[in-house]
Amino acid sequence: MNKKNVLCNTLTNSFYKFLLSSIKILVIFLCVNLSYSQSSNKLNIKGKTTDVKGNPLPGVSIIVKGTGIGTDSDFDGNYTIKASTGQVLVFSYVGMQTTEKLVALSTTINVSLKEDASVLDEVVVLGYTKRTKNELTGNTVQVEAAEINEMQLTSVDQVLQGKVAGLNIAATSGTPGSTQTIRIRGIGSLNSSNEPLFVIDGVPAGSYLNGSYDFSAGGSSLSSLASLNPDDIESVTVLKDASATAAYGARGANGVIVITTKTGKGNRKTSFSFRTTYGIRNRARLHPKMLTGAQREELFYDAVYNSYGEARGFTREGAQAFYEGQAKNFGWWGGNLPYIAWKADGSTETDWSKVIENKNAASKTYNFSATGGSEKSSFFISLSYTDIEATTIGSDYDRLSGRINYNAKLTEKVKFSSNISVSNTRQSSLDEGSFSTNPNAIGYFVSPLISPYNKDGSYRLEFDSSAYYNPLYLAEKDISKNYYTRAIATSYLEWELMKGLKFKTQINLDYSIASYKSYKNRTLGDWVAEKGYAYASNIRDFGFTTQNSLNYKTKIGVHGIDVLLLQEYQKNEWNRITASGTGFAADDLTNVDQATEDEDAGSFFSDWMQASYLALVNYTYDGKYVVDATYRREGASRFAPGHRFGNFWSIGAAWNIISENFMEDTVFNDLRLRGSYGVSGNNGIGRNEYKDLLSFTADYNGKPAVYAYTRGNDNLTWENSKTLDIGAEFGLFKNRISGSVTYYNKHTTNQLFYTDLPPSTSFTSLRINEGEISNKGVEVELSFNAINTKNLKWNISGNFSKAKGEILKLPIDASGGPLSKDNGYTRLAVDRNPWEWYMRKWAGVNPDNGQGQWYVNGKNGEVTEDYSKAERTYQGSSIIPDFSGGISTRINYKNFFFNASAYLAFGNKVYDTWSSYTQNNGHRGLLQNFNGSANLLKSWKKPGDITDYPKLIAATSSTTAVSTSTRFLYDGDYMRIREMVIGYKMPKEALKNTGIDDISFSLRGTNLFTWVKDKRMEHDPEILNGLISSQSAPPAKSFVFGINVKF
Amino acid sequence: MKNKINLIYAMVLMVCTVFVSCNEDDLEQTLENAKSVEGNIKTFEDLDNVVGAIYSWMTQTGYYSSYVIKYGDLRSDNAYSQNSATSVSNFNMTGADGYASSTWGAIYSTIGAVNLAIISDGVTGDSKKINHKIGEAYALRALCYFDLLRVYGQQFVTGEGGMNSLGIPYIKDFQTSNYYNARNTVAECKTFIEEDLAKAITLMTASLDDASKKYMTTNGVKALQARIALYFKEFSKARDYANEVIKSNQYNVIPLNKYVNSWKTESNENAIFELAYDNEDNSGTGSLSYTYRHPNFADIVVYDEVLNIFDANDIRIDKQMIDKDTKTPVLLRNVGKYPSEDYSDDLAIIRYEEVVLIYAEALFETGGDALPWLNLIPAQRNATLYTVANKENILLERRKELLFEGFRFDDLARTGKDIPLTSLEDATPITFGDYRYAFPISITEVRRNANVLQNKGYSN
Repeated sequence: MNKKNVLCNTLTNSFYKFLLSSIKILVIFLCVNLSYSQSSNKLNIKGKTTDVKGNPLPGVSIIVKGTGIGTDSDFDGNYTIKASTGQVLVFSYVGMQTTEKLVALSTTINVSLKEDASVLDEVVVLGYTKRTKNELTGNTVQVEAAEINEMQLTSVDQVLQGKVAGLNIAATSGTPGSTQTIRIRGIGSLNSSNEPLFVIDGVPAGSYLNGSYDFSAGGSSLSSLASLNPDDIESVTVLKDASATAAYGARGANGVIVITTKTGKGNRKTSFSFRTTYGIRNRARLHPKMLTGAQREELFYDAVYNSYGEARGFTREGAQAFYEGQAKNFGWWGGNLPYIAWKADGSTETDWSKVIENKNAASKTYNFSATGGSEKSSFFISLSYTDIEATTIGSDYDRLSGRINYNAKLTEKVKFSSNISVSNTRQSSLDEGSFSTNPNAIGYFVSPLISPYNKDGSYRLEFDSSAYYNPLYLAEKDISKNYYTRAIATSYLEWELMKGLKFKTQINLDYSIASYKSYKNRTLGDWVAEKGYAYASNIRDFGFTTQNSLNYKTKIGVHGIDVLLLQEYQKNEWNRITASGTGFAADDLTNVDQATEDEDAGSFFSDWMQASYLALVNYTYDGKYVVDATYRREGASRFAPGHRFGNFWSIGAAWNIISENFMEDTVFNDLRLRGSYGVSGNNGIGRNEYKDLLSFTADYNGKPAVYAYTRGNDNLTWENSKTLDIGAEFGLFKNRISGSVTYYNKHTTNQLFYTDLPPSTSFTSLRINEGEISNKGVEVELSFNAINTKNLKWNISGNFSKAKGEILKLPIDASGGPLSKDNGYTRLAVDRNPWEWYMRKWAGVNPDNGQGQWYVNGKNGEVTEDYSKAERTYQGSSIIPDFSGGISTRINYKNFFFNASAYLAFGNKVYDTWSSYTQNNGHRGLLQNFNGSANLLKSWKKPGDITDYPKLIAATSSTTAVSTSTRFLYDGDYMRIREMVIGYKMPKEALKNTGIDDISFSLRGTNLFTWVKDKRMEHDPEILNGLISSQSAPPAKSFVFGINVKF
Repeated sequence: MKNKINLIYAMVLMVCTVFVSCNEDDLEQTLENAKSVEGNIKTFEDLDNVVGAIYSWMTQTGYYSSYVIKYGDLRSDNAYSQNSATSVSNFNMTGADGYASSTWGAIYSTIGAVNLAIISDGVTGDSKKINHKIGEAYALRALCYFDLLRVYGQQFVTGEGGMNSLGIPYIKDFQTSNYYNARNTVAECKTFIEEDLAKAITLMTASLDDASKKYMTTNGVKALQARIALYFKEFSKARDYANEVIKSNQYNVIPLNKYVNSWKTESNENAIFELAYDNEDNSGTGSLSYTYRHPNFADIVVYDEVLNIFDANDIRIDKQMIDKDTKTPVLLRNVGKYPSEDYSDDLAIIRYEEVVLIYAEALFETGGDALPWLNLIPAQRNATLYTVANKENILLERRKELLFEGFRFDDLARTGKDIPLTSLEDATPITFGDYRYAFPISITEVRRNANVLQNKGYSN
């Protein structure tokens, strides 16, 4: 049986298995549910449906939930229906909010439906508090459960891509479970953290608890957010301005992402939901084209001719004869003549980019949840399993998670709630750095002359002069696995001391155990001489947060007052134990216990604390005018005594113009202005970074070796961001058109600046509080309900943001001027965009001799073939997109729905660091031992050739043509169709008497299409740090079929 | 019910009182894995550990574990790089060369450790032992700066001013507020190096020299003084310093029967100063063993011509020392020096044979009888003895004996010779005085420190 058949069989087998198990699970739950619904006697329920003003609403659809039994209200809004106690009536009407009522003893149920359009009543979760939109002065965007749960995500932050104006997100790798880079409103901080703060159920997560567990240098990352089951998420709110983020004080400056999990909904019959998906995944972008063996051979002779033809008197046609005849005596080539052996062996071609690909990788999810309860208590439970294969061989990811939320009224005045979740994540990670064991690097660099198999079908282990190893063998024998268990428990007690005054005390425990196991085999790879290598690490990460708060909320006449006083203390403890060893006696012994040599062990501990006091005041007048203020005083252990406490504050105001009398009978259904100004902070630096420290990790001759490893600064304190945010929100024609426009100016001062010290000081850096940056921008959100009828609905929405960053002040450097910080690609300078590209400017290939050229002044005019004579200059563009946004559309037609969303970013440039290898025209190794890009086929051959690819040469190492210049600086503009979904929702009538409330089917395509402006850009365009520097798989393109059942 | 409410009330109160108190004391984070510099170098043991770090830093790949030693042979007619160090052996470094910045950083970090030891005051304990340790640090600082100078100094670059050309920044302080030091001239550096070595001699006590040879000793300091004097052509000084080491009668030229094995064993009779490695504490893939001869990866190839300078039976070209590559038999590899696959060999930094050859050369230059000293080496190597001690023979014997130990480039440079690249089809010799006789200054240094100027011929 050939390989393809095996693959097909495995695929079909696993699909059948999946289908069978889904059906089994479904049947079990249906049985349970059916036995439930055989309940008490039917009552004749009657009532009236009205709008909020009391006008009768005819044509309201009324359905007994889960039965399909239904009716419509008559012309006067009256209805009658048969239902039993305990059942739920669902009232729905176009343009109105769907309302549910429990059938109790009363046989009359009158319902007043609220307009959908009244977005002012929408509740926005701000973490410490909730506000309706008309009480809000801050700038926030909230994504609701429906949207989150629909998508098949490994980690909840992915839902934000393209949904929030001003938020940029990029996957660091296509390996499932790896971290996302998120930037809200550009880069505010030059050198300290730019990661937003995550708040989960009202608790700010510590840096490790929402960061990544990077176990091995260069390996895949594992996002700790991937431990949360996206199906358990009720909403995700992004807080952007000071009014919203000042409450998070020292950690709010980079924006805040508030995640709220689902809670039990009581006073109703238990409802169940089951969702399962099956998908096929492939690379969202094809692997860049590499040379075939035959192409590579021709180019090799080109290079031989270019280098030696003239001096040795042979023509291009004679190059092969020269190579096969005399060249073996060349020291450079070391008698290594791969083409002769290859041709003698039948010229078998191998495309390594295909060898390392895991085509049609499978993904599966199962998710079950239930919610219900009585008047006194309610619960939500869920159980979920996700299993995803990577698109590269040797990597997969799975997660098993469970959650329980329980809420109880202990007395009339005291409420208790507890939220406990546990998840277990496993990830087989990949080497993603420049390692000879990185499969994605192998796809680029292993010679097409080398076949992965021997003649007898076994794995070929000898790769000649290639420094790489057979990835198929490694995928089978080596281990690199993350095991990550995270348990979060949040419980609170809320006590209503008097009407409107509540006291709440909350404790949160967030406990992670992250283990990593690595094994490198004895037969092939970097550890053969040592007879194998095993490494194990275990991290225990414990976060503890306590909050006590008093909240007074009241309405006196037209005055609405909401005051919150809160005290918070957080502590985090981080333990790590590592062990490693070599020298294994036999194959397949993969644990450190069996290592006999080089045994090493280590342990590490660190902690941090944060203490804060917070006051929030919100005042509304007649629902028209809103003023609010925030003050937070916070202390953090990361700074020296005396510099630990900082003050953060904001003030905000809003005018709900729509509530003014003069707005009645206008086309507006929503209009408000809001603005805020305030200060939030950033403490994103290392622990104990303020001290001069001695390291005790080294040794010499079996004795300790102690050296100073950090240069501290006792005066370090917070970085401050002052943000002005002004916006307008509007809705027209019953929300036919709605949207918002925002202008912001974020001014970050006292930067936690990482001064790069010259190496002659023996230190690498010194952290100081200096430097200023401003980030200004405009954000627009628009939504258009093009068609809104009973059967057909069509909505188009989009968000766009334009941002500009500028450095206002930098520390002074050795020459007395503002320090210019240079990493070889970019360079900070006052009045410039942060991270503007700074390099030599490529002037193309000289048609006369095939040499690369650069502009002498770095801009235009005179060119030179001497790289060192060309000047480095600013190249105008930066790593941050000028303009980014998202567009989505949704069409509902009867029971069908179609969704599509796209994400786009324009105006940035991306530097491809790998091209200096893959397009190296002077590295003899490339054409002899490794492989190069198919672009080399376009290389200059003879005088007069117009091309951008210089002459190939065979003798020396790299040429300067591949040294850093704009040659490999590509336009970063791209657009990606992130989602396309077609779904079908079974009509209620069809579900009559089945006990099922809802069944829907969907077929979802993710990342189906990616448009990239610059054709030279062969890598994935989702890059936020500007450099294509890791060799990892791009995100996946997937097709996922899903079934959703509610009963 | 009432009871229950009271219970809750009590609970809430408890929680509040426990957690509400928050002041700076609650924000004192643990410092378990490190200590503050201030106040933690108090005893002799502390100082000993701080000096230990100097040696530990010297074993970095960018310094002695590989780079600084391999440069001496790659930049000469001894060997070339196939892959990873071609910019060194092809002399085509750009200003941004990774080797240039790596070694710069590695040596300056070692100097950081030295200066931390030297500035330690108020250390309690036996003052002789304390002085001896601080003396070691002074000597190692001189060695570090000498190594920097011979790699980055422009003393051999035509038109840069010879001894008045730019050397390297000679930093003597640890706690400095000036992070942006300028380059001293070569002559200034030479003076500072000599002062440091002289200071080391005054501080150190011969009886306290560590017998393991894994630490700097008084004889080590004298050998260094001899090496440096020879480099700067101060032959009478070189002769006298070398003579002091010889007179100590503590060392022998390694005899023929022990020669091959001496590379696998430690603290031999010819060792003066070596760096300690073991199978757990080594540079692994960053070691000389890995780059010369590791079974999975070998970068450095020995020129075929090297075999021709030896007598056929010379032990130094025995198959145990230089052999054909196992995979590509046309290539020659160094297999005898740095032989262990687990990278555990100690690394000779100063050995007696070098001192003997310095003495011979210095004697020759000052009119003494060098021949018996020169012949001490071939006599133990199964090689024909020289009949005359002239500069050519002495340099030839240095090339043979110190092959792959990083001396060849400096020997060519200090004697004003071109670098002949012998078997490279496309290579042209580098003529003496070429700007490439100096590495580019680390690009990181130049970009971060406006006071450090780049070397001639290199751009930033």
